Amino acid sequence: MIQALRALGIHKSFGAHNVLGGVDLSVARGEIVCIIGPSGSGKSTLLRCLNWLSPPDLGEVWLGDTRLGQTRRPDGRLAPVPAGTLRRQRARIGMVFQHFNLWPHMSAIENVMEGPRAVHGLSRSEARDLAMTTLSRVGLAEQGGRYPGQLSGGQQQRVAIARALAMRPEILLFDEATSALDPELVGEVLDVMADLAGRRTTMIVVTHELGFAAAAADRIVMMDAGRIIEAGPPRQVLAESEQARTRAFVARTLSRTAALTALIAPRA
Amino acid sequence: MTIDISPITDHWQDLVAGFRLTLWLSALAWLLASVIGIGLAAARLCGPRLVRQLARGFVDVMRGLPSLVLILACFYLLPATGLRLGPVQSGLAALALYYGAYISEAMRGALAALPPGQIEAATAAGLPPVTILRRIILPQAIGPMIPPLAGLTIGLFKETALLSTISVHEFVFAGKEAISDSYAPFEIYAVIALGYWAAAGVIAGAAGWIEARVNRYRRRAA
Repeated sequence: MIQALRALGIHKSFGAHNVLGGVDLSVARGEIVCIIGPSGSGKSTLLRCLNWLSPPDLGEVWLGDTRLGQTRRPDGRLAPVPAGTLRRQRARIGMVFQHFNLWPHMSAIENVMEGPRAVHGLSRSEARDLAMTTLSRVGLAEQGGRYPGQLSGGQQQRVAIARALAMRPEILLFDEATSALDPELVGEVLDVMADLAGRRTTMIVVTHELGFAAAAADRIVMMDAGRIIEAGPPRQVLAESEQARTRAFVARTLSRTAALTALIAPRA
Repeated sequence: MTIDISPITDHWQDLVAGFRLTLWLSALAWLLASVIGIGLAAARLCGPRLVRQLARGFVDVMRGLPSLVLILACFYLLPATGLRLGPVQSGLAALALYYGAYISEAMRGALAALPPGQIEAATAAGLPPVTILRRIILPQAIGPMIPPLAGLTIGLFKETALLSTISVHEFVFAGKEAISDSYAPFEIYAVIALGYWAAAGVIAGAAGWIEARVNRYRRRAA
């Protein structure tokens, strides 16, 4: 099994607040890993450590054979890699954010073209072709000329996914990609993510959508208080966990829809 | 009261020369202030801690002084340090330093208002800092910068009048000379007021035009 990404002993604190207390995570190429856990458990911080947006205080991240962000000098000490090297490493990791973070002064297609042009040196027409293809993959072939402010939240997030995909990353990170969406728009984004998962796109998905995790994940990782408390196939973690905290978290999350289910079930 | 325009016509050439100098002083001081402002804003946003603090201290001092005091200080004190500056040079230096501080604040405000998530997304994609600045930050920050910068530009233009106190022969100075010669303060000051008002109007109009151009994307985004 080829590892796409490995994180070893990731520690991260903000001031006195210890957010990550030693996290190990490996993701194989083509694997879909969903990270769940209560808010404040360090899920988003972990993702941000994985692409060095927020470099860990301690620990290593390996992207294939490349050590991310750091290099060992001849004298054995660790040193940050040059900025250009870090940028090339980051370009191999795609990230989709909770709040989309599209560039509002650029049309959808320009948002998708920017990275391939600036980082991979594609010509305008090459980048345009690539962006068109990628936008069609997320079902937005017709919307390329629109600006983010003219698109729904679901469409904006699909543009953001296309923007990440157009860089042809080795792995995609999703940071609560549907949490900021109106409920009726969540489905269209999850459909795109499920489609990517079906094509065996390597991805790490931080999500509160347990249904998506159950259906799409090869492995679910449960985090609490800055640590991974368990990991395994969806059935094991969501249904047969022996961890009290996991069972409580899953029950709490499901209870939100339980009332509705109870209301509908007798009629069905 | 009858208005006699002969005091104006008699001194027309002096007034025009003064107005010309006012325009030149304004343009030069504005250019210098912009360079200083960009430098200060860059220092405060991405300089090392010491540079940030120095820049901040400088801005605080400039904002705490009346511009007239700074102009007089530059005129009387700079030569004492061995710098040989005439009234025009020391006046330009004073206005450039003073408005440079304000311009840096206007720029910093517009740059800091940009949602950090956009820069994060660009960073995560591996975009180089220069590209992020040129393609993501500036196109969006310039629009909000324009109204405060236009206000400062008009302010700078009007405050060149203070240089008359250090005997720079600009518009107000020329007017005062014309008045002492003709004893017609009403007519002369009317011309001066009209001159300032018209030029300030041109600056405001230009700023509005630029603002509409750089904000075109917002209408499409609405």
